[in-house]
Amino acid sequence: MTDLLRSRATALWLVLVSLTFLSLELLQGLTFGGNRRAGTVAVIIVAFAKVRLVGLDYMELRTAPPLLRYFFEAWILVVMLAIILISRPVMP
Amino acid sequence: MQSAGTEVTERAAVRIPGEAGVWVLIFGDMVVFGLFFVTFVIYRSQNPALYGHAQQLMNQSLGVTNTVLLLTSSWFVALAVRRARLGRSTFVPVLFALAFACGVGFGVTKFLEYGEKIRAGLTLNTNEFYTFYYMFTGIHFVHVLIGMGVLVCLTFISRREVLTEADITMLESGASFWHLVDILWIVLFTLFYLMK
Repeated sequence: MTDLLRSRATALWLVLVSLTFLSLELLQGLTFGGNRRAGTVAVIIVAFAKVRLVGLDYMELRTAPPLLRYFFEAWILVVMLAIILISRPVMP
Repeated sequence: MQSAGTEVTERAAVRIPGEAGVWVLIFGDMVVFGLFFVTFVIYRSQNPALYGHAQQLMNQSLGVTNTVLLLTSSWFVALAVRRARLGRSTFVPVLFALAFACGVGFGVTKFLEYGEKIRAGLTLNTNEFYTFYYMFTGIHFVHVLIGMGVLVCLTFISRREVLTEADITMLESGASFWHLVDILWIVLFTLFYLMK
């Protein structure tokens, strides 16, 4: 059982959960800080970084045929950029 | 002997995790959800005041709980697949069952959240934000339910004494689908709960 807990998958889980809580912190900084847009963009980028980690490591796309990996990476890039470029601040 | 060894190394280096057909389903789903996400952001940018006000009524704690539950379930599933592939059958069904339990936790949290919203008078017809919210999280929840059915199958498959290569492929295919459920939620959580 110890080998399970010492695996890369476990380290990745810690990173993913930390990034989730970091996003909340970033969000709070966003409320009290001056530059709201920067915080929002950071939250979006962190979310897609998490998606990429789940895909490459847990879904094992890192060692998949290049076509699969490229499609996944392209999806991340296109959807992330579209969200960043189209979105506008919504909080008063 | 040497060439066989090289072949094994190459196969281990580049390989499709699970059935190729599952990846068609996964990528198809990703394209559809990608269009959902962009559509939401377009509508959101046209009426920022409404979306800003509606988002303030979202329960971020429940959103975080569900994110952590799905990340944890993905972790259990990834551990189970790696362990099964190494031929160590102990704990594998337990890990899949734990992932299923996280799915149940997600369902309970979602049920509480929908209940809270409906009691507060926030329904599908309240405004655009909530129409998108119920539609997208509802379609995602159908994925969670299908994924939980898959996890039950994987739990039973992994209980076999000897796992064949076909069994491992089944485990990888189901696991990849469950990770997709996790990935889609990460983006939904960001769009509905986090983005200001």
